[in-house]
Amino acid sequence: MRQAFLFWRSLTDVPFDISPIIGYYAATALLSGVTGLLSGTRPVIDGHGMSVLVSKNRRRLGQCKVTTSGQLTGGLAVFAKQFGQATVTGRMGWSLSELFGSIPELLDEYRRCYPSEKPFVLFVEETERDGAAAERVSLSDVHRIGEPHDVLSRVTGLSEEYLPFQQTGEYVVLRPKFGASGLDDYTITGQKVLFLRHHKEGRAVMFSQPVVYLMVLFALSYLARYHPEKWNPFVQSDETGERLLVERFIRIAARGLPNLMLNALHHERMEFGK
Amino acid sequence: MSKLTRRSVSTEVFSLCKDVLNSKSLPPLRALLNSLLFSVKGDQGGPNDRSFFGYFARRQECQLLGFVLVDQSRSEIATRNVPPVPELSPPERALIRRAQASIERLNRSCARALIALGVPFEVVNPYSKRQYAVPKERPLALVSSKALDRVALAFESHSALRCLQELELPVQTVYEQKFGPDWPMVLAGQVAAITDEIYQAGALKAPDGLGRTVLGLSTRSEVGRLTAFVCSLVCIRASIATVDQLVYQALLGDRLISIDKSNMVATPQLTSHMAGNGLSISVQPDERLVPLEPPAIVFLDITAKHLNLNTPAQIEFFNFRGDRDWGDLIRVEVRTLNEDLNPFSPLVSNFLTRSA
Repeated sequence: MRQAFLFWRSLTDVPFDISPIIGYYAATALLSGVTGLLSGTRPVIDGHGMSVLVSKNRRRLGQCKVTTSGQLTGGLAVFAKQFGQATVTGRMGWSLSELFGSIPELLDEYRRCYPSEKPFVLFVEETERDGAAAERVSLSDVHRIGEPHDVLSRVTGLSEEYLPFQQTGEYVVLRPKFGASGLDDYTITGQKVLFLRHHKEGRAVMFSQPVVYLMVLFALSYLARYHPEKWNPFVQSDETGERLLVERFIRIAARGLPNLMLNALHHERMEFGK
Repeated sequence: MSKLTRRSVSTEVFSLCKDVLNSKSLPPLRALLNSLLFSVKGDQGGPNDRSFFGYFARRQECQLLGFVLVDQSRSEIATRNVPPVPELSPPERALIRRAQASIERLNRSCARALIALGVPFEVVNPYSKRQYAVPKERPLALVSSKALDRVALAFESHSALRCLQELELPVQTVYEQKFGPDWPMVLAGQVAAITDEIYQAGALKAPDGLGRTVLGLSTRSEVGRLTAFVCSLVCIRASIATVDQLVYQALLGDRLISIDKSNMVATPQLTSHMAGNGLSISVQPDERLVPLEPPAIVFLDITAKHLNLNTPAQIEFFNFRGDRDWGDLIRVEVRTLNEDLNPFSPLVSNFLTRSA
């Protein structure tokens, strides 16, 4: 945990060039430490549990692929199980852009960088009317991804927590079922969100935010270490236009991942102001 | 009458509704009612759209009798409204009138024990205020005479009837002395007026006057005995009205609408008062909830921290609020029904407890 703390503290000071490398080390140290604290034993971790495929023909960073190894003792599998009860079996390829599209805080930059891609997150507005909670999602945000019914069927636990959705001219309205409180996913700044499942190898998969952060940090650190021909032009001249997105991701990871680990340790959502 | 086991009013009436659902007479009647209540898609407002008939019948709030009333005053309505109310064919008219005759027979069965106590049927007839000639047609075979006997027997155990029996009031003597030969009409008027007053106050509170009148009265005083007597009749009349509504709903559909966690959006507040137990409930509309308007009977299945309800209830207020920003919501006020299908059970339990 001490190592994790030192890595995180230095992450804010290191140059952007090497920040993903420090970020990945910081993340693995922190997730290992918290896994140990939560389980009461030192986690057995053998390797990253994922690899990165960098295509020379593909210019953009978002086109890099993170592939899970399927190894149950790999870091990814251990953390995915600990933080989100997800089981990583077999090899699944995740493009870096779809991982960016799974992080709510990056949604604006994601849309700017990858206008033709479909995000995996929806922002939710909450209210209380007539003594009943109500939530709504912008219909245009939903339509950007697909038909409301298809899109919302990809939210884990939605049908258990909410009555069938209502569609108005501009919104998809959700009301928690009687006795239910609705889903409980929020950004670190307290904005409610719905996460959509990904489809991999014929099945629906959902990784929690700490695991998504870890995968992105791994991919970026891999690029920074082993693919200078791609990383250096990107850092120096933002050849692909993705630099703002990546910079924002590093800032959010530095702030968000420790917050998410604190939530996991205390089993509650802690918010430190916007 | 062969030996029958006495069961509660609600058990017997729900069983009777099952008989209605299995009746061979039901399909043509249901088809006719549906054709009068609902437009066929693509034919709304067209020459074959008969839903205006059902619209006016529903507004009468007296179940099947509403159709009889609209049929007999069709020409009157036609002068006031455009488009005209469609006309029933002679076989259709006969079918509806025979069905209503069957309901009238059922109502008399419910009141059988009360009539034996000397109370005229008109006093507890839920349709007593309506201007109509009771159909003389042969009743439609919706329920067997055995089922009617069972309902009659069940009404013998109605708590309001027990209250009346405990009072041992010589009804005719007392009322004839007070009001002369027209006393049945006067008594029917009193019962109907108190019922109206209760409904006007809404499901969530008792009328002020009623609370003051009933509370603190002893059945040892004459005023107390007469009040208990009238309140008991109010309850029996309300139970018979509930029976009529349940049978009417059985004519239209196979299941009671349920208000439960599949449509409720907030914990309802239960208010208990002298005239019943009322709840205000918000539900999310869906096509199953279309017939929620008063006086529909619904089934409440509510399990919450401080509220556990598994009971039928009658809708007394319905409000649909369309909201383009936050979705549509229905708010209903309901009054629960007890084993006697009585919405006003505290009215008599108040006197029964004291008698005991």
